[in-house]
Amino acid sequence: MDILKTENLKSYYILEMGETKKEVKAVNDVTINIHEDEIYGIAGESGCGKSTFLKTICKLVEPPLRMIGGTIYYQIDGKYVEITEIKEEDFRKLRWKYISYIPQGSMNALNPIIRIRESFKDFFTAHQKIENEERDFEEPLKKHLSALGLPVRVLKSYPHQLSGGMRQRTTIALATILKPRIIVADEPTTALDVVAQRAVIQLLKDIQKLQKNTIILVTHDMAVHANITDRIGIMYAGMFVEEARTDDIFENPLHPYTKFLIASLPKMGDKTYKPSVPGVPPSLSNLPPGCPFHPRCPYVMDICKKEIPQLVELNTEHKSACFLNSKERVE
Amino acid sequence: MNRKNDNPEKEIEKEGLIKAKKLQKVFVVGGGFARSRLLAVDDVSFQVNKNEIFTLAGESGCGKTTVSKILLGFLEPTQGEVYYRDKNILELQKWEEKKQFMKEVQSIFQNPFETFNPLRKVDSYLHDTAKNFGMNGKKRDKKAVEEALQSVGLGMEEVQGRYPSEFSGGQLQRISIARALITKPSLLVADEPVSMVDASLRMSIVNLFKELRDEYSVSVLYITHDLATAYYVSDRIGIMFRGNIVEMGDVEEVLMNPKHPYTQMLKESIPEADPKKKWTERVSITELETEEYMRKGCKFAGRCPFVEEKCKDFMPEEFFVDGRMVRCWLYEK
Amino acid sequence: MESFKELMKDGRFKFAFIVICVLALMSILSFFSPYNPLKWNVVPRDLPPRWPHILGTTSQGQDLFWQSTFAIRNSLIIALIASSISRVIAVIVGLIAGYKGGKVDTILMSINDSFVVMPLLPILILIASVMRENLTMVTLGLILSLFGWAWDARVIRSQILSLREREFTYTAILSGTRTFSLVIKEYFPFIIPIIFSTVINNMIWAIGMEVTLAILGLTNIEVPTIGTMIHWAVNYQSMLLGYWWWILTPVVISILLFVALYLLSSSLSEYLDPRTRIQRIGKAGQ
Repeated sequence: MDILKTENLKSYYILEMGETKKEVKAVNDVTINIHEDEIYGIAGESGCGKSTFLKTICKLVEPPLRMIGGTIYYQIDGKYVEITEIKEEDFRKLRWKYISYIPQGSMNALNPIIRIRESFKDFFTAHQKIENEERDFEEPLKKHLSALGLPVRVLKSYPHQLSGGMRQRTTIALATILKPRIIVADEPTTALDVVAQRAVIQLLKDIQKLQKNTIILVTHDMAVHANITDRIGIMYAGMFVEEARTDDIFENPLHPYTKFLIASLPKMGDKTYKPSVPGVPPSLSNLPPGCPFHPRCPYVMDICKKEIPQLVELNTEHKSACFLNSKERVE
Repeated sequence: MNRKNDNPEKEIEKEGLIKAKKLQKVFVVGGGFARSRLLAVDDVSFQVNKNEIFTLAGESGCGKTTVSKILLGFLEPTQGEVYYRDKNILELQKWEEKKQFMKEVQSIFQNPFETFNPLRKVDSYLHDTAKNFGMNGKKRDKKAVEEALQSVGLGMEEVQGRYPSEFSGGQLQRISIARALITKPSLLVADEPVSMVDASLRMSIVNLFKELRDEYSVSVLYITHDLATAYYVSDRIGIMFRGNIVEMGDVEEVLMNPKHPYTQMLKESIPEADPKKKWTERVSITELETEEYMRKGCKFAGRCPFVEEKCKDFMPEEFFVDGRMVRCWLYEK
Repeated sequence: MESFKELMKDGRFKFAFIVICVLALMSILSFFSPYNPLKWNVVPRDLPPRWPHILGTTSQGQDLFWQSTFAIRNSLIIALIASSISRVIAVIVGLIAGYKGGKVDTILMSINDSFVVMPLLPILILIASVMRENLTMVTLGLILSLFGWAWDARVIRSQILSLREREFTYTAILSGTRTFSLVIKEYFPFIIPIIFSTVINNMIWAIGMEVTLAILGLTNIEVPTIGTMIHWAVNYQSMLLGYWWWILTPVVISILLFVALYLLSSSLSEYLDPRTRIQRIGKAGQ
């Protein structure tokens, strides 16, 4: 079964300066299914809408961001529940217990003047009743940390005493202590050094194996995706343009943008020429008609300039939103 | 820009263009009674040759940005000297001399959106550079700016009269490079130039550096933490760790066959953009960074799999093995 | 002008602008006053508002309307002198201290802080009571300007300190720009909104100071200003005697002036704030 589904999801930033209104179409008609027990990666350039997509599916939509249309479903106990219209008080029960959001730069979000243990406690008590501190809080906490390979002594430290990597791992431990079914992580490894990055990725893998939940991971770093994800969705200008199993994305990219992206990845030991994508990404408030990639696409056809291609399944679990791909399939 | 004459036998000039000798930089952190010294750069010596791309690589906080600021003359080292064309840049007193140095050594920075004042039009910097470095006369200035923009693949119309907020990160970074090229420099110091540029545009900038080296005889000091692009673009590389250069040499040698334990660990830890090459082993990381900076001996001693007693007390010297420099007691012979 | 039209869309600016225009008009009218403001008993005393004395008359036999025109004019002159000169001092001190740093900064800030902690009112009272009749408007303006720069100099200094560390400072240096042009070209656009919003605040402060000193009888009370009008009204116990128009006129004028200046300041500084300016630039780029 799927754990999360969206249908024709649209959320825009509405900016008003005096009389003019600007609509930034950050999430522009997204229909996607995320499975249970998988690590799903979302890749794309900065400003393509990936962070906004995450915020939307976690119901963290605040002005100037507004959800314009579409539906979001969570699968709760075997049934699909529509959570688009759900009230905040009801949704609060789901937050952290069902779906957990780790925002970008969260390692800097720990309260700097209290010890880690207190941060955990604040968090816990906000979502769960603690009757017996030892039994309801201390024990599960220590168990969780040791299961994740984090030294228990971080609890006694202040955030500034830990390295960036350690803080990030602590934040991830914090976000997962209530064993959520979905973990949503936005750029969890950016700004960390290579070794810390590796440890964080390791941690996420361990959590997923342990709790058998789903991780939705957003990062622009394709190498991170290669190392941890099962499937990848490629976002461009607010839309998903390709989605497939990780191996397929790297070995057989179908969408022209993905093709360029994979070809431009530098590899150790390989000094051959790596091209980059020609042109510039479009402004989300001023999208070209038809396919948003068509101004930069070397295979552009007439239809690309007029109509928006939909995500179509071309091979097993391999979808692409491109008229060229569907044309090839037909022929 | 002067293109090199088509010479079938490419002359490789291994002359040192800029040389750093035993640089040391101490920062005093905190004030009043809680002061502490941070040794950000410790005994760093290296040189960038003509027609070469030299990478200074390392994790954030290893001191590479501090080194670049010292090389540009923005920061004074606590100890050590910097020689440009065999002249000590710290002895440059007159404005004319400093200006001549700036003409030949230019720089671009990490954040393209911070590189330009958001309230000023971007081309004003280009024109200022042309005027101040004596391209002589309004017509010549304009021509210099146009040529520089062309060499980074941009046109005057795209850039004229626009503010930084109207461009993408990749475009701004190119404009920043164009500005640096107006003075026809011999050395370009590029501090993390692509880390804030989208993956799809990154290679175009990195490829540009290659073009600058090959066709315009501009050397590049490339500062980064991304070893993949470093491998792709550079000729030689120096690996920095907590203020020291621990290994330095030909990029093929150092990255494909690393000798220093830190370089080895670094190479292991870089994620490969290939799902078939996932990490299999686990890694442990330190909790307290400041401990490492304050170590007496080798700063990597706390995590090194080959650590010996000597390493904890004495900073290793620079040893030369297999055509490269390694700062590790393992290579004492 | 484009900017003016933009600003008028802001309700605050509109109101403020209209009020200030009215007050400015009144101060211009002072040149056409049929009565000499320094003379007493030129009109019948204690008359309530009725044509031709539309705001009434005082117990000294002066027409309130025409007195007000002088009062507004003089108060504004004092305020403008005080605020403009103190801006110049604040900018110079702030720029030098912020950019140079080191010893120069320490020395300048020590002087600055001395001025900030000085007990202003007692000192002004002292100066005023010594100078009395010699305290002309211009002199008062100058004295106020000497005390009005310190706070804002620090604000400007902080702004310069943060700008100095931004990357575009290095870009400008690498473009060959020398210190003086750098500060003007790169930093001034950020400093100007500070200057604007603080100049108006400074004016409010200066007028307030003048009113305070006048009510206490320490300025030259012959010269009509908003403060001196209140002084005389209080002195002659106009409230008790029921001559409400006499005390109400300067009070209402000062309230209008303060509110208008405040609204002008907040709407202008919001308009000039670099962050909103950048947003407007982005819009223009489409």
